[in-house]
Amino acid sequence: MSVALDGLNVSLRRGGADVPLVQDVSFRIEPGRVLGLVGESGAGKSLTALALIGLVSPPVRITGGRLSVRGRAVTLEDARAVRPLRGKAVGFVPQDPFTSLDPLFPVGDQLVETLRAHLPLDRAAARDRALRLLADVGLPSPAERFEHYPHQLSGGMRQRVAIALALCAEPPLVVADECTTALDVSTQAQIVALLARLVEEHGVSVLLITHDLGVVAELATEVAIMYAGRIVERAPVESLLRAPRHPYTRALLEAVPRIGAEGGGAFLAIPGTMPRPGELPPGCAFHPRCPWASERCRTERPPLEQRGDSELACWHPLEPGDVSQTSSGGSRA
Amino acid sequence: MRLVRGLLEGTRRGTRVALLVVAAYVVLAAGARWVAPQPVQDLRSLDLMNSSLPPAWDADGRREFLLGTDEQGRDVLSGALFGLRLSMGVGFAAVALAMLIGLAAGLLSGYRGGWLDAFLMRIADAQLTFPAILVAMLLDGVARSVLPRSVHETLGIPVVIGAIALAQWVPFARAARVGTLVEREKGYVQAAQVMARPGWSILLGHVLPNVLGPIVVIATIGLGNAILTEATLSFLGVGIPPTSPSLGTLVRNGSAYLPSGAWWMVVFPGLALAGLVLAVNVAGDGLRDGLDPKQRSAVS
Amino acid sequence: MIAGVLTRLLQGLGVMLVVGLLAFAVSTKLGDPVNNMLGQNATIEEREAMRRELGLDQPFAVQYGRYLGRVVRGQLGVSYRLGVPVGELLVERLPASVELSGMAMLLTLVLGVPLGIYTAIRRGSLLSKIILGASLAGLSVPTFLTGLLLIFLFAVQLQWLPSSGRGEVVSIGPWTTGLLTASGLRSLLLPAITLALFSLALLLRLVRGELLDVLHSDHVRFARARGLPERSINFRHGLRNALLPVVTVAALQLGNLLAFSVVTETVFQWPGMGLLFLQAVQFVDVPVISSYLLLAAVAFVLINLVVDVSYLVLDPRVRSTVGGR
Repeated sequence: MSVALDGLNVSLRRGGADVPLVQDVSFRIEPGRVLGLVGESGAGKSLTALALIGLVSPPVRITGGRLSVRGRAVTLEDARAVRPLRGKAVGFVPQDPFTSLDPLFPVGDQLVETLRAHLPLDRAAARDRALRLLADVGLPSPAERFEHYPHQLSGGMRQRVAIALALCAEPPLVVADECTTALDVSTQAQIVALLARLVEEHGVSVLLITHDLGVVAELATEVAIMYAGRIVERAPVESLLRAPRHPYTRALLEAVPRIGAEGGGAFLAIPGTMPRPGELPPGCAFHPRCPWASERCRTERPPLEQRGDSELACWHPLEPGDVSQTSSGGSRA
Repeated sequence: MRLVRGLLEGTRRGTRVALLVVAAYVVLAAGARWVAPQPVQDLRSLDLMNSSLPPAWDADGRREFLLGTDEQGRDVLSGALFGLRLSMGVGFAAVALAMLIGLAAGLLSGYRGGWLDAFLMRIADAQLTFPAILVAMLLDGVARSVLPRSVHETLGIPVVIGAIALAQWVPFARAARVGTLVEREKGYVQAAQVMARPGWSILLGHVLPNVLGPIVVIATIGLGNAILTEATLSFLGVGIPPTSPSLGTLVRNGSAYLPSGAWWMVVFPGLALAGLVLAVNVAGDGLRDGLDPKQRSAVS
Repeated sequence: MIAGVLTRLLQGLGVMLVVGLLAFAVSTKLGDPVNNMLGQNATIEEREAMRRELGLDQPFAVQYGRYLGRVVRGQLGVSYRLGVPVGELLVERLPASVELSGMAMLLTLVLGVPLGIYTAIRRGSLLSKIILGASLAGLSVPTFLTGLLLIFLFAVQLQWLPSSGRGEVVSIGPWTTGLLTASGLRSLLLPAITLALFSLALLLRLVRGELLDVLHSDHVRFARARGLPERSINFRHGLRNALLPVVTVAALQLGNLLAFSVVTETVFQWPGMGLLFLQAVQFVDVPVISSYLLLAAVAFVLINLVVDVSYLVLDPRVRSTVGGR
């Protein structure tokens, strides 16, 4: 059964007014599929992830949104209704494995505690199950690691433990928030491979939040691009990577550092920065940076419209043959 | 001015009110000579006929002694104002001295590094475990035994200032050390070293503006503690000579008459003291919260 | 782990030797002991004889060694003011101070930790704001004023509780306790509250601050995200992590308690060591001053040792670095 989010809105209460941070974000993820949610920092992607488990706190609040999991819809504004989803319906894989585990408890303890919070297990049964989970996420010699404290494990092993913790109650949706960012390259590859295997074996739906298009290319089946709090383009991964339709998506793609490239920096091939919340320009939020922007882009916001198997919010979509107009420094063929 | 505005930005209203109260205290203390109804510094102005009068609103009170008088006929309000002047003077002097010691130690520690850094920071750790009051009492005990009485009395106030400063330099040193370490990473210090200019002189000019915010906060919180410590020592009769009574001395003198019901001799100087320290503490707390980015963050 | 504790013990011993030197310097160099014992009118021969008798003609190291030997055997000299061996004085005064400080510490912990937790978890509530405001006031009112006001209210005006002394005490061997009699307990109440108030306010704010930090940390957020119950998040994962720094500061607070016990004992004429020390400072009673210094140093070394050991118990990271794999 698929997982769906409808019309998520998150805003910041400031000086008596609501400043929107996330607007009208919706998506649907089929079991065994991975949706990559991509954008620069500040685009609202992590906030979207936190909103799904009700982990925003005042002055930030959720002003709208429905999450449907296991055939039941929950209103996200209702903190009391969202709380039971945590761990049980939505698993969360955190960003930094070095700070995400409680340093004072052995990892086994933390697994057993989480398992018993969701499932009717006695200690022995929970221990068996925790050991199986640890083996499942590829932790070497789980029985020994079970007694270890987080500081005794490497970053990769900790992230495996964190994934095991997220999977305890077998949630149909797993949200992975930049879960490879803090790791070194080879460990990243291992964790990506692990996630791919788990998706296949467990048939979970995954919302993969990242700014790393390389990870998206390997894991995601679909990609949604966020800019200034909104989804601007959503498409199957191959077509989006091959033929982006939104100028911002193309700018992101051109900014991807290639292995072996000189400098290796991931600079956007377009001038300017993303507008800050509360300072959104009228019309399309991207127009001040867009080389194709027209009068219409400056006054009228393009809606997110269905086009075949993808969605797009742009008045002047790129055609596959278009040549980048910003090819001076940033673009690399 | 920019620093002041920067510090005040994002602070609560309570913080600003507290700062105003502190400012009012400063004005009252500095102007004690003109504000006080009775020149209590001059012992000839005291009249034993007026001794132990209750506050003016009491049936036995007299209008010219608003808050009553003590056993020597000293106007409690005037005594408190002059006591305030001494207490605040000692407090400010102690914090200034602590700041000097701390900045010097912190700069040196951060700039030189190595064993000197380790040594200074070890002393700092040890210093934290030893309370100012005990340090001051020991210093006073030593001073009493080696100095003639008259010298001891003139040295009383400097000894107290020194003891309080000794107990308070550590936070300043830590802030200056961190600031120095940050600045040292930047290029110009190396550049200065190449040019054979003393790096620390440049450092001072660059580190100070950067750590000024934390230093102001540390100084504010330290001021509250310094005033409390001085008051406590004076109450114990250690250090400050009884000939120039601070607020603590006034409470000490008045406490003898508490059992006979003369509460005003203790309560008014005491409240003046507590009000001052409270205002300083509220201000320090607010300034710290305003500086601390953690308190400002919106998303949990 | 045992190696770690041993290292600490050795360091503590080093500190004690240094403080001992200080105490020795105070006790011999401050004031002339010969003068003190014989008075101003003694002849030069008498003085010389006395010097030899006291070992003052020996080299410094020998004198220090003998001093340490005497200290270890409990011979701390004779109080100038009271003419009683300091060792006896301390034994006589110790129970009063220990009972007062112990009760104050108990009050501090029993009230400070729960109130700190409450104000951290119910951050926005009215009661939290009242508690925090009161704690700031508690940090601002000097201990002696608290004591005097309590005396005025409960002893002078209402006459419910005694204003000074320990009340009736019961002797158990060398120890005298006021905890077993009604008058002893009544006498203890006001001084204990007075002494506890400042450290209570400090501990409360510290517990709150540390707990708030931990509750905003990544691992607590992850615990929330996993759907652990709120109680486990606040106490199992939150409080345990917050207690590490709290233990350190709470122990350092014991040092302050020692300092403020001087004030409290003065206000309430409590026959403990703080009062003894204050009087010694005022009368330049050197043997008592140097003995108090030694005793305070022992207390600080012990406190630091307790902190280190509690870290070993509480924090697995320290455990494995000190104890090896």
